[in-house]
Amino acid sequence: MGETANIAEMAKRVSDDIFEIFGWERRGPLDENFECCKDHRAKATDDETTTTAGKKIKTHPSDIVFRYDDPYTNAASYLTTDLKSYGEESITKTTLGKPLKSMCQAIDCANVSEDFQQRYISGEDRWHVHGLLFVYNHDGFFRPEEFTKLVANATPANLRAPRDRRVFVLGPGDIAHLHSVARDLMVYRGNHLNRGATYRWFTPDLIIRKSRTTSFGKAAPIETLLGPWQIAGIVHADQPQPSRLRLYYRCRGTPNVEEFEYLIEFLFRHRLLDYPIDLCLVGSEGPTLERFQAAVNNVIETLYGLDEFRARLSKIEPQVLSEFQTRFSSANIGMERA
Amino acid sequence: MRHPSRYFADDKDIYDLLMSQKRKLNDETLRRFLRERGIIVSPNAERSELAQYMSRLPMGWRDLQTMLERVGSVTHRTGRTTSEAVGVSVEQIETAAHAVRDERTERRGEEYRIVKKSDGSLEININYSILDTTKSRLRQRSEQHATISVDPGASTGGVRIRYPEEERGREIADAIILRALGDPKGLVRETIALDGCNAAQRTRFFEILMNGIDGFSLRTVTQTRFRRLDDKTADSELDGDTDTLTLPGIEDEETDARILRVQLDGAGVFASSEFQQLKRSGFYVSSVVWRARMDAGDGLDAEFDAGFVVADSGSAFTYRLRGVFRRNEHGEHARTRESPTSSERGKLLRALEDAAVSAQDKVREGADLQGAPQPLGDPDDSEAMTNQPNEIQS
Repeated sequence: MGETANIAEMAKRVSDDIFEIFGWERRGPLDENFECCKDHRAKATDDETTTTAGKKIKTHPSDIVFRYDDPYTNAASYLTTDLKSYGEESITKTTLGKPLKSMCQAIDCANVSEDFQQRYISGEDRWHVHGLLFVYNHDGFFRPEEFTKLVANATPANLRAPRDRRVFVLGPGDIAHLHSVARDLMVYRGNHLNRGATYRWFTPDLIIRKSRTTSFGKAAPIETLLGPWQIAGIVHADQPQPSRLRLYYRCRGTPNVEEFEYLIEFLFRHRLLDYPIDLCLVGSEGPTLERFQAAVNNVIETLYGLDEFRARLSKIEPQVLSEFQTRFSSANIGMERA
Repeated sequence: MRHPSRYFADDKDIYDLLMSQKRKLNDETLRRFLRERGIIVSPNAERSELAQYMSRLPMGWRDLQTMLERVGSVTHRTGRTTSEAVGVSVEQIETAAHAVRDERTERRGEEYRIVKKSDGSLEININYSILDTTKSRLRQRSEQHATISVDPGASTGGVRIRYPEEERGREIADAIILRALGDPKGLVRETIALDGCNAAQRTRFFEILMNGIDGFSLRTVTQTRFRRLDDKTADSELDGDTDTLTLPGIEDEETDARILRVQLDGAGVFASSEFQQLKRSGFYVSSVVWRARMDAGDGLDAEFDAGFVVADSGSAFTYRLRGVFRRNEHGEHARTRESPTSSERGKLLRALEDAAVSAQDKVREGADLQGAPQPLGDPDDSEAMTNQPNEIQS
């Protein structure tokens, strides 16, 4: 299978297996380039596309474009996505730096490009295009924390994202976590829910900006996917509100007691303790359940000490969820172009 | 226990924190924080845009800790300490400390770590948090640390307990001491105090103290605070190194009558004519900062700071090892002060305490002139003492 076929196959799989579950819609064609309208690529020799008129033009690649309604801006978020599949040895500062720089340029164009708008955006007035770099490690050897360091140490001078636009990076650890969440929710839906039941993603209300109608929306924004937890509200047919929550907590190693106390406080402040909660501890190591129980005890004893509170906390059912390993690709993808 | 709810942050808390901490959480720090999360933002984004965007991000306990550590809400301070000799054993203090820990951990939200050291001493470390409602909500709680150390072999035959000179540290030390003593009637507690002493005796105390640290020679006195014996106010300035007002006309007898406190800064303060004049005018020394040089070993300089919190009653003798100046390979002392090691701190404070007890005893006995060093301020005292103070403050 050639690179183009590989990209298309991988794009379809990550879209179906992960992002669709978080309420993201796929827009426009897969794996196509759009025209550069800002001379970013003037010096680049790659990414030239020949038009039907035989003219060579400079372009930006876009493997897949996602769309969702951003809960905080009242605008649609479009993410032009660059898919990479690297072996452990290939994930370096350079192999990350080039596509990051390229993505910053791509979104600079995409937000004004007529070509991009015609292909991917239709019928709406308020929208923003951000970038998403998806870096999958196909041999599974690359350590997630090393990836975090690589992105954190990326040279800021090279990352000239336009103002008010952002480039997001999903690395091997993020992908493993999100895929585990997506898969669990699918299994849960298949096993426990009747026809017509669905789920909604929780985003907290803001104090500074109160401009929306519901805390449970159809889509989880990328910031939630990159955050410490994701909360799905299970909504039965003909019901306006969720009847149960599935909270996916991303464990980085063994969580400490304070982390869980803070989570309980978060649930309390956002009035989520009114719901029964399945607390899914994703990728945990060590005595995670014991730590959670210690946190519950601490909160009851030192803060509230109320029977009502004890009853509410008893409705949180913790369970350990292994990280799900899968293969989106077995080959290097995206090495040839930045 | 430090409860995370004390730090629970909504979007406004985060926004306020970021907008009020532009130096400690500068723009590049925020961008790096975002990159660690996999988010790359424009280098042209303004502070308010960065803060607003970050405030809407979901934050967990670890994220908040990272930020609060940056702004110093989770760090520890080392302030002045005070001490007293108590007629009990280290073991009795240890037992009492465990009991106090059990009693206060939950009730007062304190975390204890009690460590018995190989030299026979005991160290009790306490973490707690305090509330300051004048700060933005997220910073209202700040983590504090107190160390109480217990050395065997005090002059009373018991132990010397050293603890922070602030309310909570005193309160905990007091609880431990009272519990160790058991029956309050059998109370054997000795603090260093000069109550009942006149102005000349008080000044003499500091002169003996600075010259009496075993193994050290006085190099120079860099700051001295004076008070009149009729000043009844507590010396709230003890904790501050700045914020004093210059008062010209100290020689004016009429003005003199209104001056209660004076501070002299500069090298060789005790050798200055201003010092002599103040002594003659009825002022006494209430606190000093000085440098002393170790006679043996590395010959490092140590900078001490000592005084009385309630100066007139001469109670609550407090002191601090401000830092040390080490010699480089050419034998020159560093220009900048550095923190001592833990064992250096213990040794130096012990030497200071012994000198203070001895100075107190000599002053009280009135037998300080025999065999004691020459009173400071004599013109030919030492090279280091001949410099003039560079300002007079009150």
